[in-house]
Amino acid sequence: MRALLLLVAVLAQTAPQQPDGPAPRTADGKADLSGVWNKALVQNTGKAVEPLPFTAEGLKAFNDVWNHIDPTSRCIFPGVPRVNTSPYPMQIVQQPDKVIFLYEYMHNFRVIYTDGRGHRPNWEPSLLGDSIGRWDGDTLVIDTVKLTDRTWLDDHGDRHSDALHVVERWRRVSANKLHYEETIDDPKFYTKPWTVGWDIPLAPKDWVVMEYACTDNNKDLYDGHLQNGPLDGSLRDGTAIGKPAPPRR
Amino acid sequence: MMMSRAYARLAAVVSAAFFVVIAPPSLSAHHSFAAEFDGNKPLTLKGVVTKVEWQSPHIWIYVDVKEADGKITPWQCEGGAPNALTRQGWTRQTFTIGGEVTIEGWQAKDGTHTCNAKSWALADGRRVLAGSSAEAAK
Repeated sequence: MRALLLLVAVLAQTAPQQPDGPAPRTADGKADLSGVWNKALVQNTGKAVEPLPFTAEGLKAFNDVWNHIDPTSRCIFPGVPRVNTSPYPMQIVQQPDKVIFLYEYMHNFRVIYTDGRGHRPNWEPSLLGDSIGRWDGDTLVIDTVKLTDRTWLDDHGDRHSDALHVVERWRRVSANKLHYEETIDDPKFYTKPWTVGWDIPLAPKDWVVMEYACTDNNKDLYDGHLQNGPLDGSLRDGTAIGKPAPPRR
Repeated sequence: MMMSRAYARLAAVVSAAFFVVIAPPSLSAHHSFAAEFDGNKPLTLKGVVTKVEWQSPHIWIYVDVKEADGKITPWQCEGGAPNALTRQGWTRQTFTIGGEVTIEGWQAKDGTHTCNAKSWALADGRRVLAGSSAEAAK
């Protein structure tokens, strides 16, 4: 019953206010990703491809999650790719030479250049890393490297190392629907890259990106109430996880 | 001694009728409900609002609860994220300082007078801030 009510509430909240149609196009003929998108929280991003192809080191990190507080609980940016699977809307502003992502969650932004430039040669590892974009037909492909190992992949406590390389694919399949795909390529923690994806609906017409200043009043942190473990509350202890697959590279 | 006293106080404010099985929220945008709050410790608090913090990442409402022996115990209860609540039409003015509120939720595991609220009802019985903090936080 509760789940049903929740579903009804979510559907009512996400129902687009305008009828669907083909994806709009920019003056230069590209599919236009611009708009406010009602990005939902995806807690266990790897669920569709479980068991994840852990290396021994990756499995160890996954089970070690019980010894750590989720970094986002301390208001550390979710980083790439978790910024895409965190809750609350985001706005995409598309320009001929770049695509700008404005995320409500933790008030993050990303400027993704699509002008053919390469990765920066002197870029220290950071939470959002170094991202460059290119168009593959109507799909925006974002390639991100130089990420720290201080962020998690999701609320489930899926982990990544500093060798993480993320490929995002963003495609507007219709006026009201965006398709998102992420490939996790992390040879230290996973024996092979894995890819997951889902649709993101357009937000109701009157929605704007609001403030979510995580550090404003993070009382759970200040009062010392935060506990170790994954946010999604899963009581996993590693026993349900298969032995790591033999390294393939 | 400390323990039994704490439980006695809690019993004074816990409604017996509330022991219906209600699944605690498993979703939070920000911190782990399961780690921080006890899904097996549902409670109902009736008190007077003393302070409203309508700020990210979660709202907090402070309530003075009058216990059976007349003693006042201050509680603090966590609600949803203000951005999500604002989208649903709620504001800081939803609560009045000095106004009565009845909160259903779960107590913090650490035993402090801290709760995660599932529902809020004003003196006139009107339910406000639909959904738990976890649901609203979605």
